[in-house]
Amino acid sequence: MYPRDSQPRDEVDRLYSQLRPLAPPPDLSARILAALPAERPTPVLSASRQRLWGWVTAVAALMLLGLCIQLGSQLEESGALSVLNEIFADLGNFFASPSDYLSTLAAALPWGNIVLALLALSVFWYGGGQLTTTPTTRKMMTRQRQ
Amino acid sequence: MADQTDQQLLTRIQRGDRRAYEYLIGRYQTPLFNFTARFLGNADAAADACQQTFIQFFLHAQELRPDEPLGPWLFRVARNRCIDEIRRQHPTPFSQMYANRAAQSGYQSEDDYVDLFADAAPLPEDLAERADLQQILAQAIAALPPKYREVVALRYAADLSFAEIGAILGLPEATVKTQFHRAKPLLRAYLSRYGVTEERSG
Repeated sequence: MYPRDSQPRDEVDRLYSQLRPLAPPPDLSARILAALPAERPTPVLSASRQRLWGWVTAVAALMLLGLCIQLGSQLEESGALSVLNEIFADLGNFFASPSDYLSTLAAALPWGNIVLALLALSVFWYGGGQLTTTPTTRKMMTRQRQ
Repeated sequence: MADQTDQQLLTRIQRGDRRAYEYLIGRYQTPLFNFTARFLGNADAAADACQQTFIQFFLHAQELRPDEPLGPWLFRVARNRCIDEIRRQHPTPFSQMYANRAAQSGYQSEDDYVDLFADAAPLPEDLAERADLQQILAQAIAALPPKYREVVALRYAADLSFAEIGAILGLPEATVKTQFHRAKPLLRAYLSRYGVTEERSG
């Protein structure tokens, strides 16, 4: 064996060029494979991706909070809440003519904000899931389990 | 799979391909074992260090970037496992081992450092019976202070360039070369102590 880059050879270099490579133990591969954990480690995010998902999740959470507050007042103002109140106050009436109630409710609901709120909820859910696969979180979860 | 680069193998390993992992072990086990064996001077401890290195790689493969060279990463982990093993054997800070052993032995210069290991070496007549050139070459590396030993082991046993050694040790190439050239007189002194010269080695 002798290193690849060309350096001036002296006597020591020439002597060590005769150093024979050692063969690893024949069972080394088998030992390594036997010592591996049965499960493949969960894919983890890089630090930059972890930060990105942290921001995305935080923004989604804030959006969700704002949209929920706005939705609450819109449901009150549009009369959708009173329709819901009537439905639950007298379910018999509702089941007698559900289409009347549902069409009134559909017309009163602020669909635009509901879709936005569901979108923010989905992003929050997915982003939170991504963050739980980071090494730090995994370690914390493992410690809690122990 | 022989034509696959380390990066391609890493990508396959990250997808959960165990055959790619086994192939990577086959590719690196000999150079890693040679390095750890020469660094530690003990085949069993070297095999353990290699085993720990490959397991650590398996556990952290998902965190490695595909553009990060795999060889230096593996050698760096193996080197750290070797240092852990040396610390376990000698509970002294790695950086102080050289100074402490020198102080205990009243050593003055680096050339005298070879004397620190003379007692551990076999007597010439024993050597004649059981040792050959290979053994003396290995003993000369094992007798070096650790900071020189790792450079020499990476150079002579793992067959790496100074640039690669620098990447593994996190040192500039010039520093690696300096350490290597400072180790050479120690090796030369050890070898000549046992009468190993080019003429005699054939």
